[in-house]
Amino acid sequence: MKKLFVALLLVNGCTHINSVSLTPIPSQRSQPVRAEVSRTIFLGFNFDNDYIDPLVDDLKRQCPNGVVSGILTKDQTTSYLIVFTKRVIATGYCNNARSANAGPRANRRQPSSVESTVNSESAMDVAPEIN
Amino acid sequence: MKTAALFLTAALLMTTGCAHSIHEVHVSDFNPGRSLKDGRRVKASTEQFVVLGFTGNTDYVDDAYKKLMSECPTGVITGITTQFSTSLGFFSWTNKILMQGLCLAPKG
Repeated sequence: MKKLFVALLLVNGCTHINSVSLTPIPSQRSQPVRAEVSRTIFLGFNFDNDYIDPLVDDLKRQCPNGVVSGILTKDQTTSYLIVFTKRVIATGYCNNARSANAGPRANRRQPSSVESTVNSESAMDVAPEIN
Repeated sequence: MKTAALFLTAALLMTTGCAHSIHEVHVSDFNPGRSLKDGRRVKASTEQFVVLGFTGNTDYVDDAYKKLMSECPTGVITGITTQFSTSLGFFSWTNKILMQGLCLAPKG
């Protein structure tokens, strides 16, 4: 019985979710994109979280001239007794939206207009509209 | 009498769970910016029953994602709140995902 229990843990592991997030989903869902990064950690020894960084680059590489939206991000951990595999999976949709470069909304304020410092809205603040 | 009380307690724990904890709530942005009246609320939820921690996948999250999209097949879903919670039971628990958003029909 004990052997079976250990074997189950070693083979299957126990997977659980740490966090989930989802961004607005576009109407055009014909071009899915997916990226995944993972790191296996022994006895909890982990000195950085740099393994996450390629995730964004990977998603963008799959959609070089478009907008990636509807991104479901799952952060999960699989435990095999003393070994953990941390995995982050991001799935979304690529759209070559005409508004990918913010469009006219980004330019609606004239540089000479008086703006509040609190409510100022720069071109960088205006998110591209998804379709 | 004692046995009956024990049985009742165990049954209560097993059927109703003894705690419900929310781990995370995420709110997405509202994009495109349209009035709330323009859209309709869509909702999707899925669950995963886990005994003693033995589970090998997190597919229930993907299922909620697909269900939410199927609720709004041709429109944009925006202002999405994602809730991840757990209801604890007797040596078991149920992981729950609830996704709610605003479905905006395509501009005609």
